Amino acid sequence: MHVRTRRLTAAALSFSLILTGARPALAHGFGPTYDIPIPLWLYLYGAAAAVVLSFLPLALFSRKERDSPYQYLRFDLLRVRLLRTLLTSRLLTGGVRLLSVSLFFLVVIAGLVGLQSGFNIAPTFVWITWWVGLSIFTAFVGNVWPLVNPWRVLFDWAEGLTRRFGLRDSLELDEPYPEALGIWPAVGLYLVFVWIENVFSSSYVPRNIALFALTYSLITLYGMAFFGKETWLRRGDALSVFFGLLGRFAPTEVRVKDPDVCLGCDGCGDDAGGGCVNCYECFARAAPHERELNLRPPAVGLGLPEKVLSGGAAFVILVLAGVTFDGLLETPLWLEIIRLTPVTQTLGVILLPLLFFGIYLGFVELSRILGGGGGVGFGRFAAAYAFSLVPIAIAYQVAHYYTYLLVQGQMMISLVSDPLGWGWNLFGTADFEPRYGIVGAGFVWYSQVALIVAGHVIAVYLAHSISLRVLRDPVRAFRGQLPMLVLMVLYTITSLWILAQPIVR
Amino acid sequence: MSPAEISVSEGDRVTLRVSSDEPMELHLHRYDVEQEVGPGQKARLRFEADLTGRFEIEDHESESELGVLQVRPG
Repeated sequence: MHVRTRRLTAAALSFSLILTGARPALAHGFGPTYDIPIPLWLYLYGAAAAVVLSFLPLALFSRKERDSPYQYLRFDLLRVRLLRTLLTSRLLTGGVRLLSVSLFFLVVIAGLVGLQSGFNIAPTFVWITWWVGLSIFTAFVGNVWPLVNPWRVLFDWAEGLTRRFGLRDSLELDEPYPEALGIWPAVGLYLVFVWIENVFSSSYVPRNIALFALTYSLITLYGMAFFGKETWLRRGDALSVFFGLLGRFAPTEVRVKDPDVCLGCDGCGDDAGGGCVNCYECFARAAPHERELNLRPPAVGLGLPEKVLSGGAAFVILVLAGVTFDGLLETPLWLEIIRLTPVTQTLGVILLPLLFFGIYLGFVELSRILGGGGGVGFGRFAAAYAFSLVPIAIAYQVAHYYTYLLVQGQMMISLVSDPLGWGWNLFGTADFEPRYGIVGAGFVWYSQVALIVAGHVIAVYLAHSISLRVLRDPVRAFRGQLPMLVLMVLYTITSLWILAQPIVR
Repeated sequence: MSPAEISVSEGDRVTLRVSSDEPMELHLHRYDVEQEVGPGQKARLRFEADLTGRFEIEDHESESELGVLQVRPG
């Protein structure tokens, strides 16, 4: 294991290239990637670090007794006068919501009538700025989707208008949502999303993006009208559930102090301290002095007790599997699988999550057995521990995509001047060339491994906290978390392995 | 393109000798090296690999990807 040293005299290398008739290759929507597979030694160091950092802290943690409710450091940003004025300003929140809906319409219009092959804002905005960019923002700053969700905003505006014209009090039919369905509709929709993102070969064609957006609008708006806005967004809207999940990792939260506000709110989890966390419905309803917007350590939100909804653990596992599948598709192993078995990419989208889920449930059962059962339902165990794996998925996603955001994301600078590809130059930036040399491949290597190892460490700590919270007794909690730690090491090593694979398309 | 992927180290001086049975314009991304190639032509691209990463080699006209140059750090 050695680090390549810079050669004093650059080698002169020559290659012979033979070209035989250019085949139209499967054009990648966004041009070349700049990441190179990490070298073997870095992969092995990363894997070793993951293992050591999983089991070493156990010696320290096992001593700690904890009978107190799940607690963490919080600082209410609303106590700072400047921030309070800024964050609660109607002008700001209204403006952001208007911006969000405008961007939504811009994407749909650009998708339908803009240039289909080349300069068009729709693919870059949707797949890079929104999908990658907003995900990273949500995980590392906070969940703003309840504020900017264009369908929620449109629904609110529509309701406001009908109310103003005295037509109806509300646009919601409020049909009872079959509770047994849980969040399975969101799971199904997210599965379709994973398929579109990873398998559908024309996912960056502007017209398709517009059509998908419109279809999703129909589903979401109808769901909100039929079952009730909040009910649908919480149960059936894959995006709200997804961003809500990332929001649990985020270093900010909204909290309502008065538990009476939460009475009758079917979304609130139980917070032992009273009141509720990240229930935006209650937050919107509560009086200003009841609200907090807290800064908190990252990932602690994933350890909070959660109302167990059918399909909850499945959604988390699906997100994890989707992230991994994305990376798996570019590995030589996947090519072999495609070649030697009847598995197709579409089949893979279904099989990999099922595989993950099966493995996960196996480890959950092990945890339950080692932890002594303790009268805790299997469903609750599965739901609680699933959250502890999220930091690893977030770390992999960031590691895999941040260069896209930094490099191809620069295309937005030119695209805002000519969103439809019609030759406009609204802001004078249409000729901006992305600066490619922003980060060198070496830096990317180290940052990717560092991110994943950090995600792993956070996950390990979470598994410990969750184990204590669910099992209460420190000895049983210690034993119960061991299978989870093994699973985490496996998951982290798999993620690192994917990063080390030669890229094939 | 054969070989489909070329791998070198940062700082290497690279020469690509290209033969093609169809006329086309070869373009190496980011390094922005261009070269016309075709049957009966002996074409050579020369450059120093001072940028790290993976770079597409494409047929400039049809913009279809022919292969990849990979420059490893270090």
